[in-house]
Amino acid sequence: MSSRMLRMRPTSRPDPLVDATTRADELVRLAEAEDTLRAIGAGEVDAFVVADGADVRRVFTLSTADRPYRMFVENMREGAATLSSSGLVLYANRRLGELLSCSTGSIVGAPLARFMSGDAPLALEEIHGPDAPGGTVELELIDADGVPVPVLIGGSPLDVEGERLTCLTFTDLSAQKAQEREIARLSQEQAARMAELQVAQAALTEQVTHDALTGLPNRALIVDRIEQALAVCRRSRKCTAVLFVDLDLFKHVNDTRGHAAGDSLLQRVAERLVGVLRPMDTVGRIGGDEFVILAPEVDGHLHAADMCGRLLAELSRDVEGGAVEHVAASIGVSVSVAGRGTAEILLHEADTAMYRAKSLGGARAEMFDAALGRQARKRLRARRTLDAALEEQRIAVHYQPVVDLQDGKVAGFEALARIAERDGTVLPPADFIPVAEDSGLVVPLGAEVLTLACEQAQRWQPPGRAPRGLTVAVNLSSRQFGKGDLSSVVEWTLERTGLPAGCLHLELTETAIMDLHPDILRQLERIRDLGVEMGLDDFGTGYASLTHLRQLPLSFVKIDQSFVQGLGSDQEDERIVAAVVDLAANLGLRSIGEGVETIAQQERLRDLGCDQAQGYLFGRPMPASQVAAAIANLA
Amino acid sequence: MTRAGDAPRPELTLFVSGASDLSARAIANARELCDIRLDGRCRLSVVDVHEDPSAVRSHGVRATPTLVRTSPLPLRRFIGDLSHPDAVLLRLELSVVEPDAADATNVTA
Repeated sequence: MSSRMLRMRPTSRPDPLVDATTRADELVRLAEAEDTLRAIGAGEVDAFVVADGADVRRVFTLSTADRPYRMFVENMREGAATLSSSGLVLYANRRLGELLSCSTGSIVGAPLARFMSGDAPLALEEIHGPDAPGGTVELELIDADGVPVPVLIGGSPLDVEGERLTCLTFTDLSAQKAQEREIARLSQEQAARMAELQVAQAALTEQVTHDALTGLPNRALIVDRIEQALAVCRRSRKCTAVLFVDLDLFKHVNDTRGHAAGDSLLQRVAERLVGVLRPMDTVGRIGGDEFVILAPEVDGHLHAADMCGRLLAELSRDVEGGAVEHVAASIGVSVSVAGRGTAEILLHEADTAMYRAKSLGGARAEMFDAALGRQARKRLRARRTLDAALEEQRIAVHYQPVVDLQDGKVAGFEALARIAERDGTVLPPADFIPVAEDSGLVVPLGAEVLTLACEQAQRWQPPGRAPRGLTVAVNLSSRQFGKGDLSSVVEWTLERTGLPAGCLHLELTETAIMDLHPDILRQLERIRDLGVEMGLDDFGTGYASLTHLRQLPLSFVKIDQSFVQGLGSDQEDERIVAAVVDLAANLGLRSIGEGVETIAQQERLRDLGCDQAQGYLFGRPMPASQVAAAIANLA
Repeated sequence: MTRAGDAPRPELTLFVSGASDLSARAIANARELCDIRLDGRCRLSVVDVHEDPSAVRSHGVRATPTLVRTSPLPLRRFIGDLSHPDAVLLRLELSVVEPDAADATNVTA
C-alpha cells in the first residue's frame, strides 16, 4: 500500500451536514485517487477512459494491453485488414504486408483498390459495401512488385460508432493455384501418356494378332474369330466354313527366285484372296504359304464349294501386267453346322482336306468328310506308332533280292523299312512311310535304315579285300538332304560299319530331285566321290527330265513296275521299257526292272537289254535271317 | 450489525479493457476473490469498456481494470489488477466470511 497522500484544498464554505457527506465522498475519492496512483505505479492499469458529459469519447489503451489479440492477429496465417466504408485500409496485419511485399505502414491509409487491377475492385464490392452481408470472393491482388497474388478474401461487416467498417481476411491461394496448375499439367501429361500407351497397345495388339508380312490376322486371331463365328452359329443355326489354302509349289518360288520374290508373291496372294471374299469373311495367314479363310454364315457345303471355285479361279488368273504368274493352290474345307466343333477341330479338318487336295495333284479344293476324318485319325495313329518305334528301336529292315539277268545270280538286295510291332507282327511301309514323309520323321527313320542295312551288308561281305560281295540299296527321301550334310552321314555310316562304299547303292525318287538345289547336287557329288552308286527309283512315273539324268551323278535307273508288268501283253509298255533301257545304256547307266512276277517278264527284260531285275519272281522282301536260304535257292 | 449469512449479497462489476494480460489477470483474481474469500456470496459481472461505454460512465470508471461494488450502494471502486485481495476487500468494504465466526466484521475505511 502506498504511503503517499493527495493534498486536498480545503472547501471555501463549510456546512456541517453537507460537509459530513462531502467529507466522506472526498475520503473515498482520495482513497480511489491514491489507489489509482498506486495501480499506475505498479503497472496494473491498462486503459484510461475520457468522458465528456454522458458520452465516453475514447478509451486510451496501452500499446501492450491487447498483446494477446495483437499477437494472434499479427501471426495468423491469413492476411487481415479493416476497411473504412470508403475503402481505405484502417488496419493491416503483418501477414498482409508479406502478401503484398511491402510494409504494413504503406498499406494503412491507402485504398485497397490500389493493390488490385481490372475487375477486382468490383468483385470486392460483393463483400464490401454499404449493404454487403459479407462472404468470400476470390480475386488477384497485385503486390508492390506488380506480381499477381491470388487470394480468397473473406469479409464481415463491423459497425463501430455508427460507421460501417469491413473486416477482411486474405488467404493466399498461390500454393493452391500452383498445385492446381500442377495437377492440370499432370493430368494433361497423364492424358498424353495414356494416348501414347493406347497407340503402343494398339500397335502391340496389331503385332500380336497380325502377320507382319501381309497384315492379315495371324493364327491366334483367326482362331479367336472362328470361335466367335461358331458361338454366333450356335444361336443362328447357320453354317461356318473354314478354308485352308496352301500354295502349290511355293517352295519352288522361294528356291528359284529368292525369298524376296516369295514374300512379294505372298503379299499379292493375300490381296487377291481378300478381293474375292465377302466383307464378313476373314483371311488370315498362319504359316509360310498357308492361309486360312473364315466364312461365317455360309448356306452349306455347296456355298463353300462355290467360294473355293472363285478362289481357285482368281489365283490361277494371270496378273502382273502380262508377266505370267500362275499361282495354284490346294484348298481344304471344313464346314461346321450350327456351330458344332471348335476352331482347332475345324482348322485340323480343313488342313486334312487340304492335304488330300494336294495329294490329288493340287490346284483343287477338297471337302472334309467322315472318310477323310477316319484317314486323318489313321495317320495320327501311324505317326504315334512310328514315334514309338523309333524311340524303342523297333525299326526293322527287310531285304528283296536283285538279280543279274545275264547269269540269274543274286547281285544284291534292296533294303526296305518295316516296323516290328510289339505283338510280333510287322507293319508294311504303306502304313507309315507317308506319315514319315509328312512329319519329317523320315530323316531319323532313313538314318536308322541306312545304318541297319550297312551293318547287315557288311556281314554278307566275304573275308579279305576282294572280290566285291553283295550290294545293298537304300532309299533316300528328299527330306534327308535338307537336314545337314547327307554325304557326311553316309561317309560316317560306311566308316562305322566297315562296308565298302561300292557295296552301297542309294536310290532317289524323281520328285526328290525335281527342285534340284545346287547344294543338293554338291552333296550327291560328294557321295559319288565316296564310291557309292546312286540311281533313280520308279523311273518313268515322275517328272525327271533328261537334263536331270545327265546332271546327276547316277549309275542306274529302276524301271517302274507298272511298265514291267505290261511286258508281253501291252505293246505300249513294251516300247516304253525298251526306250528306257536304250536311254539308260546310252547315258552309261545300268537299268533295273522292278516288279517282275513272271518268267516271261524276266525273259523279255533280258531280251530288251535290261541289266538287272527284282520282284516276287525272285523273292519278296524278307528278314536278313532268310537271305542265305534265298541266295541258295536262286543260285 | 447483521449476520453475514443474512446480509444481502454484494454485487460486483469488473470493468476491463479488451482481452489484455491485465484484464485476464484481473478477471481471474476477481473470480478467486468471490469464490474463495467471499465463499461465493457475491455476484460478479465483467464489462469491457469498449462494449458498454454507458456503464463506464454511470459507474464512474476512469481506468481499467476497476472492480466496482454496485450493491449495496454507495458505489465503491478499486483500481488495479486485484492481486492484493485484502486491500480490495478493505476498499470495497466487504466482510470476509470466516468459517468459525458467527459475526462478520464490517471494516470501514
